[in-house]
Amino acid sequence: MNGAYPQLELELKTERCNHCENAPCVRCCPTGASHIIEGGIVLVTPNECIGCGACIESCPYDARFQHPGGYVDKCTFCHHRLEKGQLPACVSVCPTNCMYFGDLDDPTSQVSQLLKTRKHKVLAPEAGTKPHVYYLIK
Amino acid sequence: MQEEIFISGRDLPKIDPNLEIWHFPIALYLFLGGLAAGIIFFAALFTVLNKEKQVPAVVKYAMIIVPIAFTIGLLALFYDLTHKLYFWQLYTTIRLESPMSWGAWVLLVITPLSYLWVFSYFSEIIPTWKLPFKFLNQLEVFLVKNRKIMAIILLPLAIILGIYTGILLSAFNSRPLWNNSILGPLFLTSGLSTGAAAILLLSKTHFEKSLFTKIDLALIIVELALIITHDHGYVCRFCSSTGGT
Repeated sequence: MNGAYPQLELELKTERCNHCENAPCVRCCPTGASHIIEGGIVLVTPNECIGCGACIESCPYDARFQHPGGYVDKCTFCHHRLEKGQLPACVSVCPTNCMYFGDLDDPTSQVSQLLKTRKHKVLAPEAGTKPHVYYLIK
Repeated sequence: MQEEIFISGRDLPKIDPNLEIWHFPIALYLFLGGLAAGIIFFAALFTVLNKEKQVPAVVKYAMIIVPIAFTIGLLALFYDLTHKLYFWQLYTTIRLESPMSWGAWVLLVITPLSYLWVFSYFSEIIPTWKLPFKFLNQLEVFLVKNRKIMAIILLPLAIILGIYTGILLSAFNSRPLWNNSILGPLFLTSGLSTGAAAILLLSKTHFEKSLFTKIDLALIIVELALIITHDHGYVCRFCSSTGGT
């Protein structure tokens, strides 16, 4: 909810790991369990994670949590589905098709085209994390 | 951290984002680590300066606190890990970007050294006890001879130990009140001041008492200045955002 009465704005958004380019969680990780793979997805290797929680503390998006198994877990952008050429589960099941997934490095991809033509924003830009999740507005 | 938590004060497990990741053991370790860093700094400094005979409370008695503080502190850190049996992964890599990685490596070196330091003063602290085995006697002679080398190694490690906890907290982009450059020096000064205060409690001679009173007072003044610098920016920003001056 934004603005002053009577000009109020309501914003509904779905939040997940923003897969930052300058990821504080990857910087804070003492073992290298948190890492960025080719393509920009931030992942955690469970067997290298000691569960110290530094990454959870550092994330401005509160995207991380302690898995009941002890290690830290997070949105993987459905890495296991992408490997098979499928879309992330959230994108593929969205009933209103309001989410898009693709390669931002490819200027002809759907997501690159959308960012060129639509107004968009990122969350917590003041944290300087350069997130890879964009929110299309209007 | 999200604004809605500040506003609503909610903290529902599994629904709201976790506010409390680090629990009381971390706070306990931060205190004990700072205390140990402070005592080691002074003990090593006076040994490097060849003044250890004038400050027996520092090099002999206050240093006994250090291995105890490390043992309790490290157990507390271990207790707070959620994937405990993988803690050795800390020692498979050196990550210069991660302050916790520096801390883990510094603790790996400084903890055994602090035990050896106290052991090197064993005969001086309890002269009536004889060490049971011959190799323990040889070890003690060796350590007494190399005390200065230990001090030279310990001095920079104590500074890193005192400052890394502050840098660790200041590296969290999500916590605006921690994410600043003052926190590291502030933690170091506060650790040194706590160390000086602990030494003051154990010192018996007038020289040591007056010396460490002066050191502690100076450190407290520096600390106050750092706290004012730390809060000044936030207070100004808050006042300007609410329309005040």
